[in-house]
Amino acid sequence: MKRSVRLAMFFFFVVTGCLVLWENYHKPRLLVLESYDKDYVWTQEVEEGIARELDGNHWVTIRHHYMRTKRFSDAPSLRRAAAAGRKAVDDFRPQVILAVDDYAQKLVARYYVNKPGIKIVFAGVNGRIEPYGYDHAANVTGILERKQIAALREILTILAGSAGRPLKVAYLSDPALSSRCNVDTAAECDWSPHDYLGGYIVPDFVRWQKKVRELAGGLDYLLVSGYRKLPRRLGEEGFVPPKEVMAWTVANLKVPVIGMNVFNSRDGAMLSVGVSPYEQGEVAAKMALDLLSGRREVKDIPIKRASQYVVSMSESAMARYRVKVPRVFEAFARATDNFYP
Amino acid sequence: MKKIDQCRDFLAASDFFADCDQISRARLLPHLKIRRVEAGEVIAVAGEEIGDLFFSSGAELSFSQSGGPEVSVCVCGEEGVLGLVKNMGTVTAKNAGALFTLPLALVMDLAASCPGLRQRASRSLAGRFAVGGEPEGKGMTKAAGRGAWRETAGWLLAIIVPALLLFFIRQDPTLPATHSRYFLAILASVAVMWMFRLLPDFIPVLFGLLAMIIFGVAPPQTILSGFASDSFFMAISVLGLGTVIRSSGLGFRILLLLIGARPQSRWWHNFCVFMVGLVLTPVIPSANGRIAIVSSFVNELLGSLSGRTRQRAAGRLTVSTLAGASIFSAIFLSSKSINFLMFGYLPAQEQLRFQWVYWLVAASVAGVALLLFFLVAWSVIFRTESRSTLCRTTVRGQLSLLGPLSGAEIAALAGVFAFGISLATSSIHRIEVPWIALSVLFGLLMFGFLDRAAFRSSIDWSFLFFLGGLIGIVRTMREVGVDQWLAGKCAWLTTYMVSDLSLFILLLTLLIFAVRLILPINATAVIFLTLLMPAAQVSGVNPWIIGFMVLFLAETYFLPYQASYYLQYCSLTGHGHPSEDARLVPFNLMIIAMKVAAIYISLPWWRFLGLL
Repeated sequence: MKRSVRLAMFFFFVVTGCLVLWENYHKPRLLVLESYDKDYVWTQEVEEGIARELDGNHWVTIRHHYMRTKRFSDAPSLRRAAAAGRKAVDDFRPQVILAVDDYAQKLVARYYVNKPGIKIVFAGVNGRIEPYGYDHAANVTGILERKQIAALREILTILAGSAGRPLKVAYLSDPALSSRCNVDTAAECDWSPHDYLGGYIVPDFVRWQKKVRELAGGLDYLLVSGYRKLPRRLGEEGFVPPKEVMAWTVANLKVPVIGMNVFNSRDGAMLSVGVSPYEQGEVAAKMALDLLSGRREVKDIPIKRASQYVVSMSESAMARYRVKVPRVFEAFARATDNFYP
Repeated sequence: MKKIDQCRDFLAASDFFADCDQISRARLLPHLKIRRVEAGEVIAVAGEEIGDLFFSSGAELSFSQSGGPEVSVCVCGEEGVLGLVKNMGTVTAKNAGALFTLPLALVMDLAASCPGLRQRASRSLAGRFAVGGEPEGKGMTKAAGRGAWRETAGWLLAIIVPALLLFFIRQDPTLPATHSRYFLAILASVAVMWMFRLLPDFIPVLFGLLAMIIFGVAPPQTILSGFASDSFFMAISVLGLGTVIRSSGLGFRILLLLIGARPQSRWWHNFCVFMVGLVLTPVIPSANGRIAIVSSFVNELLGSLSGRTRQRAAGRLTVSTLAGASIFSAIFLSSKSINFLMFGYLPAQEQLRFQWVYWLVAASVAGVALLLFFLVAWSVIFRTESRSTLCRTTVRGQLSLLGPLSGAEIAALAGVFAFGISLATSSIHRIEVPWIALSVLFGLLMFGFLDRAAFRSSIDWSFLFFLGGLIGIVRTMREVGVDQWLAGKCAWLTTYMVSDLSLFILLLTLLIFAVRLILPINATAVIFLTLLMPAAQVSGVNPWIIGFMVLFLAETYFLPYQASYYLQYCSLTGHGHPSEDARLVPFNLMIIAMKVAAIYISLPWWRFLGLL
């Protein structure tokens, strides 16, 4: 091969290589940091919301990291999840971290507060943002997940129509971080005219069963959201399958269960009113794109609260309890693919 | 029986010609002759030109080299098929009987169109040095019956085992779906084919893929996803780079430069051999390839030694060569093709984490501990004060014969340099390692350092097929939920994985040690990786740690038959068998203990990195 051809080839190789490196170096990077695993329904739906905004934006390099803290939440697992999450950030060095749910903030994102070159968009935060230092941060914005107590209260009022009196409700939950935040939020809300008997956090399935039996006589509806982190007995490995928890609860409670997560009806809850995971994903992804494109700065994007909710229902449970709700609820649940036989 | 019938039967049953098609065998028939020999008759004389190939048929043959032991053989002259002109030793008939003879030139012509013939000749030749093993070539004619039994039983079991499995799990409520039952049955059939070695490793994988697609176990894009995985392309690229390095002669030059750099002593020579093996480990993804480079120097280093001194020096060199080229294979991602399989089994985000550099970082403590243990034990057990007989001027002469760096060597150096620089700067450009490796391969192909013929012949495409297929099978396993089911079934082991890792390491060591007695390194690694890595993922244990332990512990041997590269070393050098030096087996066993200790020492490091 002639020397001139070799030189031309070398030139081509070097120039192409430099262009690829240049392009890759300057391409905006977004890390979607999920607290849970990709097989968790909530996470899947948040991701769907994110995808609605991000699809087609090929000018951004997107990487997903799953911390799996729903399945493994003991102290060593959380330590490992934190280390892996922070390594993912340090390796990828994204311009924006889109951190979803509380553990992503607690274990990873808060370490990048006010760090130059990195912006944080949070989603799915149930509790307060002060513990993460987001209240005084110059590089943080996002959307808060707040249980739709007002919407739930409206539905309770509709259900109360047939009872002809205010309803008695109580909230039962597993000890997960997000569940604790939800119980705190519920306690601060106005439930009038209904009677909110309080929120109860139980550490295992045995105590869950005991509490359900205790509450069974004095309730009209039991509110639930998180029951995926209940070991059969305290100290035992693994968690009771969520469908089993719900099946036992429905069988032993004698009053209907109302879910505060949209997927609770899939497990057997009669009716669920949950924060829209799609909204959480969509709003956060839109904020991230705005920041990455330079269209807006963090200071121009105020923190939002969840404003949309989704209704889901179980047809068999509605029939069993002979509960009637306006047809529009059923139509809404069917339209959003949340109506279960 | 007529002579022509005897010849026909021999050609039909001979394992030596098993890889040749029927047309080729038919062409050989007119040239095959039967020769009567008497007891004590010399068939071939060491140093004389090879004219014919002999296959025993009743007559027992013995092979001997000057000063070496007598070995029973069934084939004589196969070194000619490998390109040697003269007999390596003298072959004598032990008793009266018959031999089949074929002209060597004819067999060499046949070997040009049938590469398997060379492999069989090489294996036959290697068997001569496998002292204590069966007489070489026995399987060429007489063991066919035994092999047929094994194969028949294997094929029957490949139907019976999946059928029984389907029967026993038909009503298992813990299995996620019907598809998962089909998956398990297909996997069982593939496993039987592997265990009985019914076919080359990659063909059962093809059967598995095909069956899963036809039975609709998962969408074809999932089943075939391994062929589009990062791991698949990284393997192609690193195998390509390894080919260029191996064929360039760069390794040999480095060895010469190192040996010539210091005053001649046996310790230094052994250290050089060991270090060159170690240095080549990350860049040549095959222990056999590394051994081929380093062992070419062993006989020169033994020089004019003889008797017991030579035996002891050879034992020491065996350990240095084999250990340098093999025991650190798990420390670098790119040092063995099976490592790419482990990488492919990792979940996507763990693959991003355990790119080449972080893999090395995570494995570094185990590597350093093993290196230190090895050097101390090696210095104590194989200590020597004697000076080498290798003349420094010889080394200089060899270097001057090599001349300046050739184009291929420059390409190999440039490839390694580009790969290294790209890895070192990956935090800046953020291009993942598989694509860096593919860029290096592109460069080598573009500039013609790896031509089309070498690309076709030097890259192990059957392994790549095996790799892509297995990754697809594991992804299908996840898709149908069998990983969680298997983790439940192996709960006794996964419980230790989670609750008592120290005990798990011991159990794993014992299990792998037992399996390695009957299965080769890669098959052992595939079985343990396929079972344990998904189980680790389900149990919340970092799957890299489990995968690393499997790779690290499976790469062990104490007898030559356990590792193909050990056999290759014996064949290439004529040394290395345990009977040559009583220290070899205990030292090889000691290396297993060192590896276990290195894993225990790594535990705090893995905790520090947040992996545990």
